[in-house]
Amino acid sequence: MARLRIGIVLFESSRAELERLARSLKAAEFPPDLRVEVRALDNSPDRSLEPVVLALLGQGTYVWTGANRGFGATHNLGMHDAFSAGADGYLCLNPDAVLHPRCLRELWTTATLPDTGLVDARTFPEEHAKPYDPETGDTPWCTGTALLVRPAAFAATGGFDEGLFMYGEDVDLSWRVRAAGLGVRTAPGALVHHWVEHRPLTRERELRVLRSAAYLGRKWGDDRFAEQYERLYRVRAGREPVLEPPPPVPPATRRFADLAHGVRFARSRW
Amino acid sequence: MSPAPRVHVHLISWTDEPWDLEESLFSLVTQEGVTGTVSVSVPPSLEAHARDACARLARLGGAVELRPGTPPRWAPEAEAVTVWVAGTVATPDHLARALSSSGAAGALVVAPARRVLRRPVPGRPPYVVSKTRRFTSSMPFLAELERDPAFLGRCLVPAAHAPGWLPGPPEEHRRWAAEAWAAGSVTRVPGPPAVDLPDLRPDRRLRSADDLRDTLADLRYQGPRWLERRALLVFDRLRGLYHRLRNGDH
Repeated sequence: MARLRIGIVLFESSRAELERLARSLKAAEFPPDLRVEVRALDNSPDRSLEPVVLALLGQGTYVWTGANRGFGATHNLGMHDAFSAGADGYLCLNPDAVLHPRCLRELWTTATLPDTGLVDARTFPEEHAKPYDPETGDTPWCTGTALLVRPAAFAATGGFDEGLFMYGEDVDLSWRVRAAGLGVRTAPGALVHHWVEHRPLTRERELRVLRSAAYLGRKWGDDRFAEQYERLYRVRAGREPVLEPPPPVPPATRRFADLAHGVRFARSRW
Repeated sequence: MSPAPRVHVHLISWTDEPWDLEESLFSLVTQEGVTGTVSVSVPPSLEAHARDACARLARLGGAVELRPGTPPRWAPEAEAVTVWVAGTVATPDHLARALSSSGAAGALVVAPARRVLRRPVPGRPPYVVSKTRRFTSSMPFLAELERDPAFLGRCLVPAAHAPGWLPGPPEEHRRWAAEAWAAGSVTRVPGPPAVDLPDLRPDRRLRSADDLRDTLADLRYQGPRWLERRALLVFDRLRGLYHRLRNGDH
């Protein structure tokens, strides 16, 4: 029987949000030969979410990480544990998401196509404007809202770049997975409700986006792209962005990056 | 705390596309701030799927009651009525915002919308080719809206003004709307697009001033985004203008 581990990274998440997610996990349909286990990885300052999570998730497990490590680094912990224990897939799932009951089944169907490294669900009601091939599901990059990672993709890349605290780590991982020769796909029938359009662009969030964009530009060899976002960061923050030197990307693999479409990282359909 | 207001949504499928039904139902069960009664009317070929989809999505526990079949009229306890064609999708706050925009006078409200052009894919969900913003005047005329066969999905009619029957084919949608328009005042919900309507127009050529206004409304949105991609720093200096254009009423 195949095993799928769902990893949910929490940071002071609300009870209402977790209740919605838990209901959708209980309503989820998946193939009989797939065993699904859920693990919450809590980056909150204390363990106050533990009883809430355990009451809502039933069979799920709870891990308090003791520090806010960021999205990618925390999922790396989760993936390391899951794949070391023999999981056949790891689903990075946002706590403010709601899965359509068929989402897991559709994700898994695409994940088991030969050579698949990553599969993302289609965000709903605002679908991401990046394109995908409607027949094969091939897409330039996968979004992290509901992102299924296969063991081969983790083995080839080591997971997310931990130099990215939040935003852009899914784009970077996708490019590296494609560079490793694995498929990066969208499962069109996998819908995940994730509505963030109404959230205000706070200064903190904007600075994180700008910093991540600058980091990706430096990492993938487009200094002009990086300089634009560094300059904008300076205007907003009144200081230089702190960018750790990114791990080197071999020049031959830079062709997998798309920095010609701003922070959309792909042609937009609308 | 008073209970959330109830809205009756009549969801009707004009095609055999199961994914359109699935997406509209998912959008309805994730609406916030209202309780809903959703009647689901489909062609015979989709009846089994519709029953399954209703049962499946009810498990998400939204404040919405899903009822396969066409009732003779809308639920008597509903405060407002709307009619969606399968494939219509809205933001989770759409029904609640539309209801509050109706005001004490109980005006018929029209939400800003986008037109979604899709390409069918056998055995899979339709592929979205484009989404374009529609122009919406401050007191929308019926003629301005009904160029989209699925236009009722962006309208919310207070129960006091709603015709006492539920429409089926497209010509009945126009007749139903004409009766609702004749019964009271009409206003627009402020803000960015809240509803995506499937583009079911048989003819997509530009034919009227309304089509031109749609094109301009979309350019008003796309233009700044083009500039953002091409010249980020110039765009940033014009940021205030961009936000007025992006979030303004249209």
